[in-house]
Order: sequence, then structure tokens, then C-alpha cells
Amino acid sequence: MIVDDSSIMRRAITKYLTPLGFEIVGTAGNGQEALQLYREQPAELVTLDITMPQMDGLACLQALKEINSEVRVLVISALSDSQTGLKALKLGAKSFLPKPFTEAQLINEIQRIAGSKP
Amino acid sequence: MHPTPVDVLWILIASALVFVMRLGFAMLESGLVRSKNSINVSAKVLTDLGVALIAFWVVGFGIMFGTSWKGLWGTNDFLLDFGSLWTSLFFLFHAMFASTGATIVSGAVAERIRFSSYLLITLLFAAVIYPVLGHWVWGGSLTGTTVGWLGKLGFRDFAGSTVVHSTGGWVSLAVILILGPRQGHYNQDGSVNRVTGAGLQTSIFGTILLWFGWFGFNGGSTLALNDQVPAIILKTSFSGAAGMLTALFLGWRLRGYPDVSLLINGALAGLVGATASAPWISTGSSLIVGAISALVMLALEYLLDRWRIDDAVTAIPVHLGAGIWGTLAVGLFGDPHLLDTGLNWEQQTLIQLLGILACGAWAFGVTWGVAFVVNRFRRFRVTSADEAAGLNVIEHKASTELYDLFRTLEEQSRSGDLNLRAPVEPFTEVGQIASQYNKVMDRLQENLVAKADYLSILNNVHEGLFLIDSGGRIGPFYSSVLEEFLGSVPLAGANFAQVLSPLVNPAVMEPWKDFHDVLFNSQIDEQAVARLNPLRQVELWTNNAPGSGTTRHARFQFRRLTENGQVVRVMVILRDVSSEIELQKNLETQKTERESEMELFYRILHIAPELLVDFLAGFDQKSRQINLLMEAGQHTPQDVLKHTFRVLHGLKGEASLLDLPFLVSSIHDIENEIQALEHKPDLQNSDFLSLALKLGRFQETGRELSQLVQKLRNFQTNIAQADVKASHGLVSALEGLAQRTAGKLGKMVSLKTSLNFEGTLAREDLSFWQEILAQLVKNAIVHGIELPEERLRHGKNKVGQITLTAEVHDHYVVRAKDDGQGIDLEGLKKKALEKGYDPQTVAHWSRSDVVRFLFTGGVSTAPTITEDAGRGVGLSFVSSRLSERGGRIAVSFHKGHYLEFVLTLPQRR
Amino acid sequence: MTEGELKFFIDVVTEYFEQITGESAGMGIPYIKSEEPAVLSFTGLIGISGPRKGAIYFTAEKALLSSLTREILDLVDPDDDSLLDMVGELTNTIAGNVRKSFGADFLISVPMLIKGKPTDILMRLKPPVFIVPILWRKEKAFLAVGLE
Repeated sequence: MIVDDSSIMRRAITKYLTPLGFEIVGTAGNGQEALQLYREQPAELVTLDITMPQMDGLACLQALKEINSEVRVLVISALSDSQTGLKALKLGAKSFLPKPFTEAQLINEIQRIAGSKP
Repeated sequence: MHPTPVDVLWILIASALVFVMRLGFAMLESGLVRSKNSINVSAKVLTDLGVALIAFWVVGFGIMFGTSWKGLWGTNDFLLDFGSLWTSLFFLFHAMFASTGATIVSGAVAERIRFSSYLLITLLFAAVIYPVLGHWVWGGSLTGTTVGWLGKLGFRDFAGSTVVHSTGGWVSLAVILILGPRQGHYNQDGSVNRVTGAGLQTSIFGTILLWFGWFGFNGGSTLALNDQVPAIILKTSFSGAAGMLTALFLGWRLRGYPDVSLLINGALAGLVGATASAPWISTGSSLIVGAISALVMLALEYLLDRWRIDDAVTAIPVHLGAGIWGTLAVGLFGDPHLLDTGLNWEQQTLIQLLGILACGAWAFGVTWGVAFVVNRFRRFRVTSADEAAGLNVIEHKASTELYDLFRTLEEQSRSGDLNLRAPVEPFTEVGQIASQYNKVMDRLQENLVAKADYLSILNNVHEGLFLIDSGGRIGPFYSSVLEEFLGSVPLAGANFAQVLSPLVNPAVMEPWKDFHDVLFNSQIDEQAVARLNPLRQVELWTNNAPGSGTTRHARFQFRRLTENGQVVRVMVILRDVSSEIELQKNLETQKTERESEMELFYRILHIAPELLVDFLAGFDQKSRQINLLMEAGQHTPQDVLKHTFRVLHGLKGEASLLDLPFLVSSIHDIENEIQALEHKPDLQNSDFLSLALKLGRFQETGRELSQLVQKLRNFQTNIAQADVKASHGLVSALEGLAQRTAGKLGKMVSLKTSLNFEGTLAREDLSFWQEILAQLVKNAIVHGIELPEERLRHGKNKVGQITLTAEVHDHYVVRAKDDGQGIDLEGLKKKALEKGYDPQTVAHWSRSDVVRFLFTGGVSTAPTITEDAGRGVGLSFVSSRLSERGGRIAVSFHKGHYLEFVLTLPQRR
Repeated sequence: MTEGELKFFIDVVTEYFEQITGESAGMGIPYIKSEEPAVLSFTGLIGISGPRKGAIYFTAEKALLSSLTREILDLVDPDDDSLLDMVGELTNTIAGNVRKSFGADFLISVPMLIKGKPTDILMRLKPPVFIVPILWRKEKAFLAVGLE
């Protein structure tokens, strides 16, 4: 599941991950959409943007963890909010990928998380 | 004198017993001194036997028992010839006495006297001091007379409390006074450091042996095995026992424990005490004599320590103290009747006292005088280093394993050389100690060497290197460079965050606590944590001296150190990256400068068009958003900055995703500007100027990018148009060909073209189709279109019509139709027969068989070969070119009316 | 376009107010304008050519210009022409300063005075166009700079 308020980001992540054999359960543009989507179709792996309208990533992460504490979340956000990133890790995010990132970095990170134990 | 054989045997046995005392002394003394000197002491005991024996034979015996000169000394019997049995026996017994007296000295002066000095003293003792004194007391006894001046006065000393023991004591005292106490034996405050003897058990064995020897020493002094002998031995033993018990119990009382050395010395004192008086006192007296001997011994030992006279084996209290007492006891307890000196006990006691004084004056005086003089020329004492090392090795090069261990330890403590290892003697306790010690040293050295290596690394690396614990405290060891970075405040144990805070922008430290928490949480992925390092790159303020502060760029890296899966410490690496950043900036500037339009162009070409178009639309929209936000003027500057930052940051992410580094770096630059503004106190509108300029430049770049994309679009369109022009050129070329061909043949033709390649035609495709279309046109004119008159005849327009159409869908579909005569099937069959085809086969050819024949090479229905047709290669050329590229050709015709070729060709990708 | 240059234009304007009225003008947050121009009722524009091309204009509403005119000429209710003159005066000052300070690189056109809101004004400015709000006595004016 891909959660990001930028449609380019969503499309790009989809484009990069599909060839790797990942099935994209769905994409969401904000936290609320993401939660709704997750309740309908729980994904194993979630990429989550932090700065989003309506419900931000941290709140969404918390809610996701409440639904399923095993969910693997890759937080993708700006390097400059390192405090936010740290909070995300404390809240149980698997890893953190700072924006901007490249295709290779994203793939590497996703594979690392996908390979790790829940 | 003519001894009976029994007497002879007894004197021999007694001599042997006295000889055995030497072994007793050796054991006693070596047990009481430290092991580093034990061999030396024993060696002295053995050596003085040899020295004393020879010296006594050469001069001693003569002085002692030769013809007296005024009762002072003997004058003959030097280098004695053992002519008679008696003389020999007498000599043997007294030679044993003389050497035993010498041995007393060896213990007292132990642990510091030079071996050669000791030999000198022994020689003096056996050759002069002892014989003279012996003459005074015992002179004449060889012949059963009394010739010595003391003896003649009535002085009695049965077996030598004075002659042997006191003399030994006096000599010892004189030598000790010259030598001085052993190193470290007395403390400043007068207290005594008792040495730990090499083995008290050996001393006890020695004492028992001495006691046994005393049976001969006293028992043999009768020089006959008479009825007195057993009593003498018993009284001697009683005295010894009394002395031993007195010292033991008194010492027990005083010191609180049964002191072994008192046991030994008490026994010996008692034995010494009884030596002068044994035959003449009662058994009860012998107990008193023994007990008092012990008291005297204890008192004298105490006094010697008070006076700092260091007697290594308590020889003086035992031999001199108890010797004097024993001599006095002759007067006090002796039976005058038995003594037979004609003196009452008072007179006897006074004479005894006189003898004691004479002995002391002589033995002490001579020894001190000689030793004092000789000591001036050659010190009696060994050097302090040799004394510390021990005389075993210094004098005899005889080492013990303990000594070797000691040497190693000493050398190690002196040099600090950790490479030294103690020699390991197998199967000994010391060997085991040494082996354990070596193991300890190995580990110690390992640790210390490793530590030394680490410390030297820490002192030499250019990076700041240190550990922090889970409490955020800096570890005790850190690289020396660290102080250059963080200042020379005491860093060990200091809180890292507190040390750093004053040196960096306060905002930098805000996430520190969170970062520290996740850093020490082993559950959280380290790579992810590393990305969130707030100190990845910070400006570090260094304040070396007042007013000379500088900032530099520093990079902190954090590495977890785990134990059992727990993060116990974190290694921190701190590097000065100022120059790196400078270089990077320069490179980036250069790179940006080099980022020519060509490169921009190149990058754009590699971006999926749909993403690029989306991006540009978003770019434009977001730029407007920022502009409007700033223009609106309704927000606080802080809000404006925050929103702008957010919008830009989104753009940056997208730009980076699309690999547009020049945009990324330009946004990054603006972000830095915004952050700087956000943290600026007292923010002015004018501070926004530089931001506005940067935004302007950035938007300009975006605009250029859009323009570039537009140019690309235009370019594509232009290329398409160029192709259309090219295909126009093709049309006119075909037109010209048709008219030329028709003119030559006298035919009339009109070419109608509709070639909708729509600019998709690449150059090479164009030439491909040009060739094919040319063939088809020629073929139509030569073979299809009739001459004008013939066409009129068939009711057709005299101008023949050729239609060429081309369409591109998935495939190229090209049609070429003429309204000529169609295909002459029969004519073709005839041709086939001419070509040598089997008539039977040809007769059964279907329409399509005939058409297939048409496309084989070398067929032409034209009667003559012209440049344009008739060579029969036209159609076969077309078919082979088409099939090369996977195309197909279909033919439809109606004889006399039309012929149409339909060519289909997959589009190349 | 450098920060110094932009600052220079701003300073010229704000100092003008200060010199004339004794009351300095402040600047708002500068921004970039890409579409419709920030043009108020009265505008004075200087075209710049030579190696650096583009234009600078100052635009203001009637209220500000009236205030300013009253300050200088003691005119109580100036008519539009006077206000246009006022803008012209300001623009001339800018032009004069630019000529003095930037030298030969700046070829300056005769100031052009515009009343109302022409749509083509942005055409004369080279993007990016920086708009600097000028605040004086709670009235707003804009300085626009669009130079290559």
C-alpha cells in the first residue's frame, strides 16, 4: 500500500515496485484514506508519507499499528524533519527513507524491509 | 696418658657427635635466614670446618696446649705430629671444638658479611683467639696438669660455656658492630622487621641435631667414659629442656603464641648454660641453670634489638648470654667439693667473673681491632645491591628458583619491562607460582599492550573518536583531537549533549533526545536510525581563544556496540568535513555550470514523458501557489516560510525521483535559506529578498524546462512535417517517373496518390517505399496501362489511371491499382512453357499459381526489354524486399479492367 | 539579477519617501509574479535595454499618491494628471539613480506613465518578475523589477 499526497510519488513508487513482483494493494493520498483502505485490504507493507493533509503520517502510523501491530511500515519523508522520523521509528515504523530518494534507494529499502522479520 | 680402648671409643664417638653439631648449625642457620642467603650460610658452616681444622693444626693447638709461657700461651706442638694415640685423640676432640666455636659466628653475621671476610674471621678465631683463651683455661690438660693463668686461679669451665660459646659470641658481637645491621631490619621508630626464614622446620631439625651433638660435646669433655658421663648428658639435657620450656611459656605469655624461634633458642640457651657446670651441679640446679639461661637469652635478645645490634640468628643471646650465665652458675650452683679448687662459692664466683671478663676483653678486643683495621681496606660487608640480591647468587652464583623468580620480579619492577617472564622450575611450588605469575603477566601484557595500541591510535587519529553510554556520558578514553573539537573541558564522564549544546545551533540539538533513545534501542533498525542522525552535518563553533572563534563543518557518525543483543555503548566518530563541504560546493557549482542545456535535454529524454508532463504541471501549479501565498500578505512571515518549505519539499522529492539534480540542488539551496530565515531572530521583510531571488531563479529554471519540453514538442512536430515534405517529394518523384515512363511508351497516364505515412516514416523506410512504389508504378505503366488508342477501343479513357495509397495503422498498408489490362493468365502460362515448365503442370495451374509465377524472377509479360520493364525483375524485387521484412503482397485483378497490389508490412519498432 | 541590485531599487524608493516626507516607507515580503501584473491605478515604467534587458515599474493607488502629492505640493485634492505626474517624478528619480549607479550597462528608456491597468505590461518585464510591496502610511504600492 502506498500512502503519499503527491500523485507523482504514488505513480512513481508503483512504477518502481511493480516490476519487483510487489502487488500494489492500493494507494492513498492522505491518512484517512489510507486507514480505510487498510481496513478493507490489509497490506503487508506500507510506504507512508508524513506530511499529508487531513491526517498526517504519524497519526496514521499509530492507527495502523493499532489495527495490526505487525504491519511493516516504511516511512518516507523529508530529511529535515529528523525529529518526526525519530518519532516514527519510536512509534514502530520499520525504517525511514528520507526524501529525496532515488529509485535504487527505494528498491533497496523495500527489499530490506520485505526480507526482515515482522 | 693412656686411655682404655673404651675411652678411646667414647672420645671418637664424642668427636663424631661434636662433628654432627656442624650439621645442626648448618640446618639451624640456613633455616633462620632468608632463602636468598641460605646456601651462603650453609657454605660458611662447611668452609669454616676446613679453615678451622687446618689453622688449629698449624698454630692453634700449639698455642692452646703447647708448653706454656707464663700461663698465657703455648709455645710448641705447632704442626702437630700425631705420634701417640692420646695426642691424636686429644687433638681430634679439640679440633672439633675449635671449629664448632668458629661456626657460631657464621649465623650471627649472616646475610651481609663478605664471604672472604668471614674466612678471615674464622682463621683468626681458630688460630689465635680461641687457642689463647683455651690455653688460659684448659692449658696443660693434654698432660693432665693446669698451666693456664685462669685455670691456676681456679676458674672452671667444664666443656666451654666461656671458652667455646662465649668466645664465639664475643667475636660475633665485634664483627656485627663493624658490619652494622642488615638493610631494612630496623625501622626509623626502632621496631624490628623480622625476616621470614627460609624454613623453620629445618631449624628445628638442626636444633634437635645440636642437642644430640651436645651429648658428645659435654659428655665427651670428661675425655673418658666414666660414671659421670650419663649424668652429665642428662643434666645437660635437663638444662636444655628447662631453657626451652621457660622461653616457650614466657614467650607464649608475652607474645600470645608459642613462638618457634623461642623454642629453638630457649633449648640452645639451656644447653649452652649447662656446658660449663654440668658435672658439678645437681640435677635440680641444672633445671634452674637452664631456665635462667633462657631468661638471659630473652633479655639479651631484647637489649640487642634496643641497641640495634642485628644478630641474624640470635647467636649472641644464646651463646654469649647463656655462656656467661653458665660460667657464673659454676660458682653459684657448683659443688665446691666436686670443683676441688679450694675456693668457697663466693670466691669461685668472683674467679668465674674474672674469667668471663678476661675472655670478653680478649675475644672482643682482638676481633674488633682486626676487623676495624681490615674493614678500612676492604669492606667486610657486601654492597647494598648485593645484599638485596642475596648472597647465594652474589657470592656463589648459586641460585634458587625462588631467587630467580625474585630477580625477575625485581627486574620487572625496576625496568617496567612486561616482556620478562619468570623462570619456571617444574615440580616446585615456586615453579607453580612462577607459572601462574607468567599467566597473569601474559594477560596483563595483552591488555596493556592492546590498551597502549588503542591509546596510541586515539592519540594519532584525525577523527574525534569516543564512546557514549546509555546515559549519554562520554567514555574515559577518547582521541586527543576530540578536545580540539569540543574544547578541553573534562570530557571523560561528561554528558555529550551538554558538552555539544553550546557549540551548535540550538535547533540541532532538539531531536537529540529522541535520537539518543532510538540509538540505544536495539529493536530499531540501525540503518534507519543513521539516516535520522541530527548531527550528520553540523556547524560546530570552536572557541579556541576569546574573540577567535571559528565555525567548521563537522560530521558525527554513530555506531552501535552491542553485547548480547543490547546496545551498551555507541561509538561516535567526529570528523571535520569543512574542506570536504567546500570542495563539494565547488564541484556542485562547477557541475551546475556545466549542466548545459544539452544535459538538461538529455535528462529530460530519459524521463517517462507522462511523469515529466505531470511534474511540470505540478511545478507550475506549486510555483503559483508559493507566489500567491507570498503575495496574499495575510500570513505571518513564519507561516509563509513554513508553507513554502513544505511545497518546495514536495517538489524536491519529485524532482529527485525524476533525476533532475539541478532542480533538487536549487530547491535544497532555497530550503536552506528558508531554514536560516526561520531561525533568524527579528525577521525583517528585507530578509526575504535573497529568498525571493532564489525562488525567482528557481521558477525561471522551471520555466526554461517547460520551454525546453515545448521545444522538444516543436522539434518532433517539425520532424514530422519534414517527413511529410519528404513524402511530398516522393509523390512528385513518382509523378515524374510515371510521366517519363508513359512518354517513352507512348502511353498516357495520370497518377493519383494518397500517401498518409504521417511523418512516421523514417528515412530508410522512405527509401524502401520509394523503391517499391517506383517498381509498382513502372509495372503498372509497362504491363497494365494500354496504349491510348487501345484504351479508346475498349471504351476506356485514353488516359490510364494509377492510384497509390498508403496508410499506417499497426501495419503499413500500401495499395497500387491501375485500370489497365489486368493479368493475361494465358499469356503467362505460355511464358511458363517457354521457360521449360512442365506443360502438364502448367495446364492445371490455378489463378493463384499463375500469380505466384508472376512473382518469380525473370518473368515479364512485356514483349521487349526496356529500361523500365520487361526485365522481369520488377515484381520479384518487390516481393523479395517485402518478405525480407515480413511483409506480404496480395493481388486482385479483373482481366481487361484493373490490377491491384495490396502490400502489408509490419511497422518496425 | 542580484540581491544587491534588487535592494538598490527598493532603497531608492524607500529613501525617496523618507527624503520627501520625512517618513520612511517599509517593504513587504517580496514575491514573484508570473501571470496578471500587480498593477494599480497609476504606474510609471522604465524600460531597460543593453546587455541587461527588462523593465522596472512603480505602481500605486490614488490614496498613496494623493498623500504624497499633498506632502510635496500642498495640493488638497490633486487631479489624476497630478497624480500621474507624481508617479512620473518618482519613476524619474529611480531612473536617475539607476543611470548614476549602474553605468553603461543599463540603457534606460524614457519613463512611461500609465493610468489604469494595461494587460501587456508584463511583456516588457523579463521574468522572473519580482514584486516588492512598498508600505507607507498604511498605504500600499508596488515596485516591480523584471530584469534579465
